[in-house]
Order: sequence, then structure tokens, then C-alpha cells
Amino acid sequence: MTGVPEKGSSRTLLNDMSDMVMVVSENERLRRCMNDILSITALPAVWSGGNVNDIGRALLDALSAILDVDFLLLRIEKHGDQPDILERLCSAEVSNSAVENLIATLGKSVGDWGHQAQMDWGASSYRLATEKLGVHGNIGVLVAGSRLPSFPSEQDRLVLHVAANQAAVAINEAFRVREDARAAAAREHNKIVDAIPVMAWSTLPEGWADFFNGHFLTYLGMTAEQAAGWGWTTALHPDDAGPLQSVWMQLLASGTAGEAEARLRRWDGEYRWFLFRANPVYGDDGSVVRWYGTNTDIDDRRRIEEELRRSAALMAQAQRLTVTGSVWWRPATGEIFWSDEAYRVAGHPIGTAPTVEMMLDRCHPDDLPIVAEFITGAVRQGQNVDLEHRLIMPDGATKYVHVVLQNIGTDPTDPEFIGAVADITERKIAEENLRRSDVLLSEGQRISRTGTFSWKVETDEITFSEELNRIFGFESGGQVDFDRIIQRVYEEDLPLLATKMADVRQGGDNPDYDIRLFVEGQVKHVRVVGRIVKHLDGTTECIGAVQDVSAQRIAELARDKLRSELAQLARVMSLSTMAASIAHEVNQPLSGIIMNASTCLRMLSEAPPNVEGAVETARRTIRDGNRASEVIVRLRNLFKRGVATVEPLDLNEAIREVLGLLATDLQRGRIALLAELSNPLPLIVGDRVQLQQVIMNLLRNSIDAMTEVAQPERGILVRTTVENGESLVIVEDHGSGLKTADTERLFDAFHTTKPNGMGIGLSVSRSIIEAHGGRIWAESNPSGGAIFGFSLPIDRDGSNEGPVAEPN
Amino acid sequence: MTDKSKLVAVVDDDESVREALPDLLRAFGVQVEAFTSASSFLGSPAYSLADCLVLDVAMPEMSGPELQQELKKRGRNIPIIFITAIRDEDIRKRLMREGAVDCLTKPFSDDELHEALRAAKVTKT
Repeated sequence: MTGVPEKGSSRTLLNDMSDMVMVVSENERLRRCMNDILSITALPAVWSGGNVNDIGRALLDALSAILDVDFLLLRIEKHGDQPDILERLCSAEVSNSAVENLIATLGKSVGDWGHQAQMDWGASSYRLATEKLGVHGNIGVLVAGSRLPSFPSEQDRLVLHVAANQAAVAINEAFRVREDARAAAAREHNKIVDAIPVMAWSTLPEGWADFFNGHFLTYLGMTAEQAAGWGWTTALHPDDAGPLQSVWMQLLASGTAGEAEARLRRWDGEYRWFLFRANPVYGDDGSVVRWYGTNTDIDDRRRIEEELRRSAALMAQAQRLTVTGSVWWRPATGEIFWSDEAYRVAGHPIGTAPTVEMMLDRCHPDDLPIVAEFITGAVRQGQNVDLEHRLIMPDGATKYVHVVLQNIGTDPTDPEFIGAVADITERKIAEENLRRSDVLLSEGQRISRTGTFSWKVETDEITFSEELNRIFGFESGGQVDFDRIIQRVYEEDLPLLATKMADVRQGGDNPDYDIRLFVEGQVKHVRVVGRIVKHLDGTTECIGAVQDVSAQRIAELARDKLRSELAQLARVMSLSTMAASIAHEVNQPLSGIIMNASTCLRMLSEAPPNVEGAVETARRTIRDGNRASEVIVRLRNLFKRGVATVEPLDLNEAIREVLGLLATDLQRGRIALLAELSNPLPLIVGDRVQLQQVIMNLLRNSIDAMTEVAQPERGILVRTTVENGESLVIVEDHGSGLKTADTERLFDAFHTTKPNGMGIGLSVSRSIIEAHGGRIWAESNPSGGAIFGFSLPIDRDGSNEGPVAEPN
Repeated sequence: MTDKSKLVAVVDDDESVREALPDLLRAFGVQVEAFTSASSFLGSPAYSLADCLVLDVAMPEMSGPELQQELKKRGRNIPIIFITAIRDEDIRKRLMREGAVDCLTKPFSDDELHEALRAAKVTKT
């Protein structure tokens, strides 16, 4: 409305002039037109450096002064945004609504606006002149409207055209300058944003990310396009994506600033912790127009926090495990700190302010004086404390604690202690148990006469237990080496010891052997059992036990001797010795008889006959005959010897005893013996030793027969049965078998098939069995070998104690 | 028929042999002296005088074969006729190898004895 007074004045001037000077009017009109055009072309100088709106307004101001119009309208197209519309109402009759009507009439698209048009609005009709700015109006459009029928005149059109051209150039320039400035500002802004040491970003109100600074993109190793929108969330740690997103959604919904922590994957795959901060920017209507945010790298902080947390946890755990609490104490100020475990050890609730009294309260009355003394020393002289004492807990239990306090203060009058209090109850109990089990072990070793040793093979370091020292006759606790050991080993067994030691050194098996020692003038039998242990450091240790088995060995030797004597007695006495003795005893008088008889004959055949001598020799012949007879009686008595002890006996038991005596022989011959003993077997009456001789004789024959042949199946079967009121003992073997069909001859005296046999055993056996009223027989085993058996009558009334018939 | 100058020593621990054998030997016409043990023979004059020795194999203390070895060691070469109650071919062979004239197993006949004496060159027939 600023142009209204000028417009009025210019029109008055024009009316006055028109009637007065007609001639000059054409010239004047031309001159005025020239001036108008000049004033318009002068506008760009004013516009230089101005903005688009300033240019528009100045243009409209100038035109309103020049043209006789009711309104002017300048529409400027901007790049991308809504167009600017500048209006200038030049008369009181028009209003804003007229312009709106104009736009409605002409349509929104400037390019479609015609060069000239007419517009009816209310009672008036307006003539319009339009000029486009730029090619096809791409910069804008200038419209002038007037109710004058003459509008637009040629001059009006010219002025408008020039003005439009001038404005187009100026506005274009202004646009360019504005864009340059914007680009520079954007560049500057980006530079700053990229330079700040945090990740910066922005999103649209709904969270769609539209900007990331260079730092962010470099970290992610993504392009802006990849990260845009929700693309960046692929770099979130899978564990953190959910929580972060839920926080982000809350912020978006509430429209308030907030933060959250999450891990982001760096371009090289490493995750680091970041603090995400989001700040909303609000529009005039209070709604969020944009979110701006930063991500700050807090990984180092997180890691330190994590490590602190972990070490605190480890510390607590360590204290818990070792039952050791930490203590800090400054006596001058009475400040005391206890770790949680210290409270537990002392049995006070965690968190109560600790005092010296609290500790002394728990102290065992007997230990109180010494503890008080230490505490006093600590307070007065800053002396370190290191002592073990007992606590009495509220439940009456006794605890052993080890308290260590170290003065770390620099001022002697103001000591500052750090230390530890450890619950050593279990250790104390374990020590006590260990001591007790040590005592038990050494007692056990002493009772079992077993000592233990350790031999480090590479270094020959040897350790003996106390009992082993005793066995070797070494003083307790002395140094043991092989020289000393060798001195104690029985001379004959030294090669054995050398062999066994060499075995161990060469990585042989666990040693297990018997060896003799000679200790204090006495032979000791010991058994050595070792275990070879390979240590991780590659060394070898032989750990073992040595048992003094002297008593056992002596008993064994005595038993073996007795057994061999028994077996020998049964074997040799009944066979060869008896044969030799029969031969000797009988042949002696026999040769006397023959010699005397011969002498007698010779004396009688002499001339003259020596009758006196012959009588003497004949007398001696009779005497020798009697002597021979005595020998036979003696032999019979020999067989009869045991029959004096006749008793009811169990043949099975007698057989088991014999098998016991023969066990070694069976083992040596690798012979399996199967006993099928009938149970029950009625008792028989007889001489146990004699019958056992028979059984042993039969078994020994079988063993010898088996050893002679290379039989794959070496087995002997002994069985007992009851048949026809008799007990039968049968021995079956798979040996060389019977070499004669006449089995009766086997039992004849001096019949033998053995290279060293006397042919006596079976004959004596028959004598014994027949003396007991039984039978003995032999037969061939159908499956190879021989079967020998004998039968004895069963003791019916159990009271048959009369002597058995003499053997024939 | 007999050479009275020959002396035969009998060593045997068995009494009946010491009684019977000298009579039989005398019947063959030789002088006889009997001893109960090897040591009593070694300590008697017969040790150096005897022309023949009739010796029991099995005796207490020094046995017959041991006496044989002892005589050999002393260089006393004297024909020996062994007599034994136990028949053992091994022992017999060993004694013969060691230089015995004969080894008779008791009981033996007078002919066997006479044959042995002939081999010992104390009787001629």
C-alpha cells in the first residue's frame, strides 16, 4: 500500500496535462517511456548483492510508480520449495482475495499462463498482462492487473517486458549466490561435524537415519547409502540390538532426549562399546522435526569397569576360597576396614563397623593375653603382627585363625596396618590328621614288618621309611645309598639285586622279587615290590615296599622240608631203600649158608674127612638159615609197622592230603588233576599212612607216565565211588599206558617198566591193600593211558578195631 | 695142589661172612686172616704180607672201593676180589676198570670163588 499516494499524484498530473498540451503529449509520452525504461534498467545496480525477496519488492515498488495498474503480482519459483508470491495492491478497490482469485483463475502452473487475460472479480473486470521470467517462466512470472480498458498499452507491455527481463537476470544471480553460500555453509558444517571426535548422526522424526558423519561411516566401513535408514543397525552386536532398539523406540514415542549403551562392530569386525545419545529438535508446533545424536566410544571405560568388577569378584572369590579376609587398620583414628570375608571369618554381620573389641571378644580366653600383647605392640610401637590363635564362635565352635598385620605407615607415631586374617581351622585339623595318620602308617609298617622306599633312578637318591631302616639295620633318619644297601645284601643274592636294578634302569617292568639280606649276623628274607613312576619332568622314580618275610620263609622252608621228607619217605622208603634193604638183609645170611655148606662139603670130602670142621660149618649153616628167616620176619614187621594204628577213616580226606603233597609235582609236570570224590563216602577202617602211600604210589606212577609222553591233554582223574559194599579209589591217566597184557604181573615184586624203577611200588601197594582186606587192579584206559584202582570194605559197624590181616 | 705160602686177607663187617669165608678159603689151601674194617686191615702186618684181598663193597667208615683207592695211592699193588650183596652192573664195571680181579655177588658158589682165586694167582688149580 506504500505506492498509493504517488500513484494518485501521477494520475492527477497526467489528467491536467492531457487537455493542455496535445502536441507535446506524444513526445512527452515517448520521453516518459524512455525514463521509465531507464529507471527500470537502473534497478540491477540497486539489487546487486541483495536477496531474492529484496529484488522482488524493489521491482514491484518501481513498477507501481510507473504503471497505472490496480495490482502487481510477482511469483518466484524456487528450487524444490514452494514458490514465493509477492503482491502489490495499488488501489483501494482490490484486496488479497482478488489475487487469490487470480491464481485460482490462471492455475498453479505458471508455464501455462497466457500472455494476456481477463479476469472478472466482483462487479469489476480486470485486464491482465503477464511476463514470464526466464525460459518458459522457470524463474517466475510477473502479472499486472488494471481495470483500465486501455491496459496494457504498448508502453505498459514494454516496461513490463524489460522489467521482467531485468528481474529474471537479477533473481537468477541471487539464486546462484544463495546456493553458493549454502554449499559453502554445508561444506563448513560437514567439516566441523566430521572433525569432532565422536560419531554424529541425525534421523527423521520417525527414526529413519539420514545423516552420518565421516567418523561414523569410517568406523562402520559403510557408505552413507548402506548406513542410511536402518542399514547401520546391522553393525550392532546381536546381544545389544534388541535392548538398544527398544530404548530408541521409547525415545521416539516420547520425544525426549535419552541415551543407551551398545556395542558396534568396527569395519575390521571388532566390537566396541558406545554410548548412544539422542537429542530431539522440535518444530514451532512442538512436534519433533529431527533427531540429532552422537555415539561416544566408551569401550576402554567399559573394559576397565569390567576388569575392576572381575578383579573384585576374583578377589572376593579368592578370599572366600582361602577363607582369608583383608584388613586395614589405622589405630590413631580408630578407622578399620574389613573385607566381607573378614566379617565371615570373625563371625560378625557384614557391614557392622569393626572395632578392636569385636576381635578381642571372639578370642579364646587362653589366647587373649598373647593377642592383647601383640595388639598393644602394634598400637604403641607400630610393630607388625603375625600370630595364630583361636576364636570361640557364638555357637561354641573353635576356630583357628592366622592374623598378619603389616605396618605400611611412614609416620612411626601413626601406624597404618594392612593385613589378612585367615581361617586355618581346616589346615590345623588336616595337620593333626596327617600327624595321626603318619603315626598310624609307621605303626602299620612296624606291625606288618613292611618298609617303604623311594628311589630316584636318574640321581640314585634313595629315601627309606623308618621301618625299612629297621629292616636293614640302619640308624633312623640316616642317609641311604646303594653302597650301604649292597653291604646288607646276602652275598649270593648280589647278582640278583644287580639284575633287578638294571631292569629298572632300562625301563623294565615293575620289580617284584625276593632277596636275602644279611643283617647283624642273621639272614633275612625280604620281598620287594616296586612301582615305576614316570614324572612329568621326564625323570623316573621307583616307589616300593619291602617286607621282611623271614618268619614266613622259615615256616615255608620247614613245611617244604617236611613235605619232601614225607614224599621221600613214601617214595624212597617204599621203593628203592626197601628193595636194597631186602636184598642186603636176605643175601647176607644166604651167602653165609652157601659158603658154610660148600666148606662143609669140602671138609667131608677130604681124606681123611674133617668131621669136626664139617659139623661146625653145618651148625653155622643152620644158624644162618635162621638168620635169613629172621630177616623175612623183620621185613614183614616193616610192612606191618603202621597197621598198629587202625582207625575208621575218610578216604576222600586221605586223598586230599596226598593231593596237597603232590601239588608241586603236578604243577611242574603241567598236569591238570581232576578229583571227583563221591560225597558222602562211607568210612573204611585202616592205616591212614599206609593207604596214603598206596594212593601216592598210584598217582606218582601216573605223573611219571604222563611226563614220559608228549600228550597235549595232560590230565589225571581221581575218583571215589561206592560199589557192592566197597569203597573204590580209581586213578585214570593218559600217560604211556600199560606195556603188558598180563596186568597181574604188574603187581609182582621186581617187575618194573621204568628205567630207574625197582619194581617194588605196586607190589608193596598190593601187600598193603590186601592186608586191609581189599583188592588192587590195573587196566588199560580205552582213551589211552592206564587205570589203576583199589577197593576196600566199608566199615559197617564202625567198631572194627582189630588188626588187619598181615600182608602176604 | 695148593701153595701154603699164600696169604689171603678178608675184610667184611658181616660176622657170618668173616666166619664162613675163611674156612672155605682154607679149604682151598690158602692162609687166611679176617678183618672187620678197612682200617684194622691197614694197621695189621697182613697189609704188607697179603697176596690177595677179598673185600666187601658196602662197609661202614671206609668202604671197599675207598680202600681200593687208598691202596693204589700208597702204591700197594694187591689183587682184590670184591664181594657185594647188591647186584649193580655199573658198580661192578667201575671196580673192574679200577683193577679188581673179580666182583662176586652174594650169595656166590664155591666154584665162583675158586675161579676168582685162580685169577688172583693164589691157587693154581
